[in-house]
Amino acid sequence: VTNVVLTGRDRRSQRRVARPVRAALALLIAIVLLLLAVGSVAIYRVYALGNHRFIAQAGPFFAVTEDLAVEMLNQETAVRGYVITGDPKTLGPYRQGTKYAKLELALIGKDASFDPRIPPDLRRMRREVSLLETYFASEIAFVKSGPAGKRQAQARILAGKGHFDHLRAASGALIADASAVIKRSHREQRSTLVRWWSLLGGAGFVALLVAAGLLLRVPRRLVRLVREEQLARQEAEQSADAARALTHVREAVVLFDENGAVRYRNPIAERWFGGAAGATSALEDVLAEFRAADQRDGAHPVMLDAGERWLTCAETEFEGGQVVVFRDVSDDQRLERLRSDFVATAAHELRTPLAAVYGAVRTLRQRELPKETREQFLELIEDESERLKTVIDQLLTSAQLDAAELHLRRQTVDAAFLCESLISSAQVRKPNEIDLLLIRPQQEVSLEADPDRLRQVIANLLDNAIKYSPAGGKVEIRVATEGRSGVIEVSDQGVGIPAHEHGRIFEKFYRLDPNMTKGVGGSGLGLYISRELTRQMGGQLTVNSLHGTGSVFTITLPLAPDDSDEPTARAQEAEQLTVPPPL
Amino acid sequence: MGIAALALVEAGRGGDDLASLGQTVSRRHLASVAGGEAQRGSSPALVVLLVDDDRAMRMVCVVNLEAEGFRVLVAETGRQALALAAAERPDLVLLDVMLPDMGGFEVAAELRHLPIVFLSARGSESDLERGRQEGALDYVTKPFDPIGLSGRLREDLDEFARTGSAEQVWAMRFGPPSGLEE
Repeated sequence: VTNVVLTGRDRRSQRRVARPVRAALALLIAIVLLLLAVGSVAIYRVYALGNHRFIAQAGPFFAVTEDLAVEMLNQETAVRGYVITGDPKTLGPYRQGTKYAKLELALIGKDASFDPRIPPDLRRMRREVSLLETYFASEIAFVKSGPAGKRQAQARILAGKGHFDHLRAASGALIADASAVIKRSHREQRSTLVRWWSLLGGAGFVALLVAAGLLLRVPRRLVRLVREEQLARQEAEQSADAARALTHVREAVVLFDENGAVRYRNPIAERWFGGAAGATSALEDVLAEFRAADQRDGAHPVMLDAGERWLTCAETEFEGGQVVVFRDVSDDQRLERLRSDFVATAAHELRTPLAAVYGAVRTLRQRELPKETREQFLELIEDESERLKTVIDQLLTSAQLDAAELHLRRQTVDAAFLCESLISSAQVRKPNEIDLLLIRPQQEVSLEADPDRLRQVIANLLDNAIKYSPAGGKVEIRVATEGRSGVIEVSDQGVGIPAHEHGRIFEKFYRLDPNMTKGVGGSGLGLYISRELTRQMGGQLTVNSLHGTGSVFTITLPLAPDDSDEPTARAQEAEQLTVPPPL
Repeated sequence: MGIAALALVEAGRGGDDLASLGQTVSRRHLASVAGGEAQRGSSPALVVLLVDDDRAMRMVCVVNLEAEGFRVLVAETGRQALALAAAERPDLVLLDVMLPDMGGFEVAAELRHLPIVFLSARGSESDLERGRQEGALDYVTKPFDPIGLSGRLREDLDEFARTGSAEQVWAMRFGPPSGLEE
């Protein structure tokens, strides 16, 4: 995880994830606050409404009760006046009072059910009213019965006052009880209000706390989750990348755990050491070979399914396991072998003409030879020195090709003219049993090439054709135009080249007979140089050959552009070619 | 001598100037050679079959060997060498390792019944070891001094005649084989 780095885009997406959650939680808190406010107001409204209903109920109750007392007092006053005066007119307020008292009792009775203490008070009140009414009626009856009754009635006035005091007491009790009830209810209602408010407040506070907690924690946690997810994804991507890299490396990579069990092998390892099941033994065998050889840094030949390969092995221990990397160095090994072969070959190629020169010089100095023989020996020294020069030139050209230091000219070259001059110089030194022929083109073939390098290439092909025709035969050079290209073909009837070698003969240092126990000498550079030079001149060199029937090497080069400068260029070329090449 | 010259001409495919050169040189130096032979008890000249595809080297060897009284048969290829060896039964085969048709070592294997001296520009220890295994008397590495060649060949042949063993001759030149196998 340590090397996982999040990008800016990842960080932005973390913030994007947290934002809506924060907004939702803030909205939730706002809604809770609103609900709290609305709830508080609602509770208060309910309380206030209860209060009003109370006033509406209890107010008339008190008033009616008071009124009833007043009505009874009015009746009493009227009855007392009638008892004293005997004038029936004074009974008017009494009759009205009786009627109102009845109505008011009914009214009180209707509202009396709000507390269990009220009905007994009311019954007492009714009884007192009824007693007082009975008293009033008997007083009126006494007055109506005559003067004796009037006197009797007057005598009972005091008793009437007693009744009235009872009523007042009953009415007072009723009002007091009702007041107590109302006061208590009022208190209860208040405490209910307070209780609901605190309940609502408490619940709201808890809700707010929870919401605030969520607001503080959830987005942060969400961001952390997203971050972890991103890191995990990135890590997974990285290990996928690592696996992809391991899939495509050219080395075999095997991971062992601390117990030496194979935990992973990449496809190359699978290919080299087989699949999952039987593979361990093949792998173990190879590893054991390396460990036994104690050549872990060096290359070691190993038999794989695909044949013998040279492998190197690098083991890296780490905590909890080991990584083993095998690299196929067969190509390096082959190149190394070719290179060391090349040194032997180059030495041989230099020694052979040198031996002839040295031998000829020693002979000339030490022996009396006829003039004719001396001349032949001098010629031999000249020829062999030239051969030495050719070998050295090849070595230098090859080195230049390696270092990409070769700079080619581009000129118009008359192909037939060049081949003709090469053939005439080869005529002198070729064996008798070889016939050299030039098949001329119908029209002049003007190539765009470096004349010196093209000469080198054709000379090399011509030398090869002669060298590899030990039994003699025809060696032909054909010059022709094919489409937009000029073609120079060098063919022989010599030993030929087996088909499977056609690709390899152009490789550097490659020789058909690497041990050189037979065949003709050569640096193994001639065809390599020829192909490279032809390529750099924009053409190609190919071979067509059957083992035993001879070979055809074909140089294809672009034709020179058809412009007016051409004759001059060709004239220069012709001039150069007439000058004998320096030794 | 006449037959040898004919064989030489045959081997060199008639027109080879080298062959004619060899012939000429042989004739010119007949007197001195004959003198040398007389000292050796007028035994017939030793016949060397020279097998080398390199024209210049052949020329140098032929001139020098004939100057020292050898009769030289010349072959350019392995097959020519085998044919000549069968026809002429030379006293010694001077054999190049690299030949155009078959390898010098292969030719040596065919000619095991004859004393063989290799002549090669390849002079690594493994080349020498291969030569020893093929039963050669000696291995001359190019470049060499052609003036001393005939003397060396005579020494080889004398030692071979004395001991009868090619290995003994080889050991005289290069020491015991164990030293070579390192």
